[in-house]
Parts: sequence; structure tokens; C-alpha cells
Amino acid sequence: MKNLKKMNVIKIVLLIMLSHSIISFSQKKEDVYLVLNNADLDYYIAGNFDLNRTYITIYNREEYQYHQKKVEEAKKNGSYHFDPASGRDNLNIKVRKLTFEVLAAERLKASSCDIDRLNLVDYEWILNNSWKKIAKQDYDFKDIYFLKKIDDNEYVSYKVGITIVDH
Amino acid sequence: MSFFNKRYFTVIIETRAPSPPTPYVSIAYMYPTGGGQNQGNCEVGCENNWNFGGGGIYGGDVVEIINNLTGKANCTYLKLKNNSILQKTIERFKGKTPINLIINQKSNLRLDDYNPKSELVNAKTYYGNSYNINITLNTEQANNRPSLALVRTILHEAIHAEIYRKVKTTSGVSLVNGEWQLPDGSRANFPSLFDTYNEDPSNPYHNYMAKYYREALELGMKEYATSIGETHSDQFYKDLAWNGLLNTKAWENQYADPAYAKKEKTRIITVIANYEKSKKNECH
Repeated sequence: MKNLKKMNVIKIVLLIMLSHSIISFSQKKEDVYLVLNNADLDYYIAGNFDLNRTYITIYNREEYQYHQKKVEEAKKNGSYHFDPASGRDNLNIKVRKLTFEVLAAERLKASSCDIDRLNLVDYEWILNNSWKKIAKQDYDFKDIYFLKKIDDNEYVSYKVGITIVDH
Repeated sequence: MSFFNKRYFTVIIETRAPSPPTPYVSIAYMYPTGGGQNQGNCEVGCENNWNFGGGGIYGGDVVEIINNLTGKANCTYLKLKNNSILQKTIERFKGKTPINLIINQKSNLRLDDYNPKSELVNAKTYYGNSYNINITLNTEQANNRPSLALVRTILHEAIHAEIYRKVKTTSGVSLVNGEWQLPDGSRANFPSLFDTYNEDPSNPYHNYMAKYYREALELGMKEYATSIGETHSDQFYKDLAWNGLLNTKAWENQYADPAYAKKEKTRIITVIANYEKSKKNECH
């Protein structure tokens, strides 16, 4: 009788462990990849893509270009003022942007087939999800990687984490 | 290297070492229970307690302040280190929360370092998704302004770090229509932070700083100036404390008369500009 009870307990424990493993496996978070494209009409990123880069800022292209145009105009007519203490100018034009800290970077070889097999995301996904880790909200990805093609079958891969910047 | 990298990318040509690993921090540090000082209960008390006395609260050295400064910036920072306001700020990073404060400097620091078209700035504070908060000072701005102006910048950035530490240890932030907002959850612990942050979504941290930390900035600057033998009027410290905070709702809401507000803003900008041009960093 005592042995039977013990066996039942073991069975229950095994069942719980098995269920836990199945649930954990089905909920495994995966890395996501954004292939950066300078020609993308939605966003703009300045600068070179090398291994020493420490931050990547993605601007809303339309807003960025509009702001730049207005800055040039204001500079020409002498009305432009930038405050280095606040990091803001006197134009009050909203330019949406997201800044990412580069946590690790590497150059690697990958064919287009390799890239296609990745869990690829687009700019819209970045806008809607990349910040959720610092929002303490539920999120369904592990880490975010930006890939920048630098040559045939050659990429720079940046593992990034979103960051807020102020001045 | 990620799972996908291992699986699909067979050739890694060159790699840069990842950032140093974040030190492990026990959950008890993040959410202390029973006894001890729970930062979550601090709320407005935090704002009002900048002058409070009392001993140190160094509960453990899990959390670090890492100083990577050199030259004039380092000279000024070291002289400022014993300043009570900076101490109060830094104490909050020691033993109470799992966030490291790293202080760096960079030549010709820009709004976006990879965009030569972007403007030069005095300093930046990055609030990453790791347990690190990075403050970076502009080397030339540190060298070419009086040390008291640099002290204002350091205190200003340290307060940014402190505000974000509060945010990080409670609710985190959400991105809504391209602007950062505090979710409702933060209201319970930090109602004034919640209200002030969301009152000015385009400039939330400065708005909060302008409302609750200007007095701390004034006191910190006055204490430093006295320690190096400089004397200024109280109005001067008030004006300097507004530096970087003039584009906020807190400023706008100060005066009913917009014409007077504009005139006063111009006066403060002139006071700051004249002082910053008056001498180079004299620290040695």
C-alpha cells in the first residue's frame, strides 16, 4: 500500500515535470532579425556600419527629412537656435526615433537563403515591439539583431537593446 | 552568439567582444521586502528629501559607480564627489537598486554620434535595457566652460539617471505613438513622477526635473562654488538650474503672461551664455 502511494506520487511529479517541459518548449522565445536597408522609405539611419559602432538610431525618414529641411532654412535666415544643454532646437518639430545600444557586433558570411530562414521582422515590428523589454510588458522575442549587408554574402550583425537617451 | 547564428551562419569573420556582463543582482535588491529601505515608498519624499540629513545607506557594493573620466572632466568630478547633492544621488545607486552608473566622456559628443549633421551637446544619459545607466560628457564642453557649468551638467545628468532608476525599478516605460509614457502601474508608487512625465511626453524627464529637482541643482552648485571660493547670488544659481529645462511645460506653466515668460527666458539664456563664456574650466 505504502509502495503504491509512493509510485503514484512519483507519477504525478513526472507528469508535472513533463507538462512543464512541453509548455516551456512551446513558449521558447526566439531571436528576431531586422535587415537594415538604406533605401527603405520608412526609416533612416546615419553613419557607417562597422564593428566599433556602439549605438544605432533609427529615425522616421519623412519626419527626419522635413526637420533637416527646416533646420537648413532656419540656419539660412539666422533664426535657428540649438540648446546643447537640453539637446533640443527652437523648431519644435517632432522627429520620431528609436535608439539602440549595440551589445555585441560581428561580421559574418551568410547567403540569402541563410537570411531567409531567420525570424525576420520589419520596421513596423520594431516600432511596436522592440521597447517591450523595458516596459515590463509581455514580449515574445529573445534578442533583437540588426543585420547590415556590407558585401556579397557578408553582413555585420549587431545584437541590440533599446535605450532611452536624454541630455 | 545566438541560436540562429550558430545554426545558419557558418563563417564568422570578425567579432567585437560584447559589453562586460552585467553583475548578477538578487531580486531582493530590486524588490526589498520587510525592513530595509524600500525605494518604492519614497515617491515625493525623494524630491523633498534632498536636504535630509542622516547617515549613509550603503547596503552593499553589488552596484557600482564606474568613473572613466580623464583631464578637466575628471578633476571637476573628483572635486564634486563629496558634494552632498551628488552624494544623495549616488547613494541611491548603492545597495538599493541593481543599476550601475557609468560615467564616460567623448570628444565632440553629438546628438547622434554617427550623424555629422547633428548638433554638439553638453552631455547624454543613456538608459539601456541592461542594468547600466551611461552618462557621457562632451570633452570640449567640459574643458571650455567654467567648472561650475560642468558641475551643473554632471548634476543634471546624475538626476536624469536617478529619475530613470525610479522608472526602471517600478513600471518601466512604454512607447505610445512614438512617445515614451509611464504605464498606469507606476502611479501607485510615484504619482508625481507619473503625472509630470505624462504631462509633457515630448520632454518628460526635463519636465519632472524642472518641477522637483531645481532646488537640488541650486544647492549642489552653490555648495560646489563655495568649495572653490566662488560666490554668486541666489538668483544666479536659480538661473543656472534652469539650463536645459526651459523647453518644458513646467517652465511654460510658471507664468500667466506669455510675454513676461519670453522676456524672462531670454534673460536666463543670456545669464547662462555670459557665464559659460566667462572662463575656461579652471580645475587643476
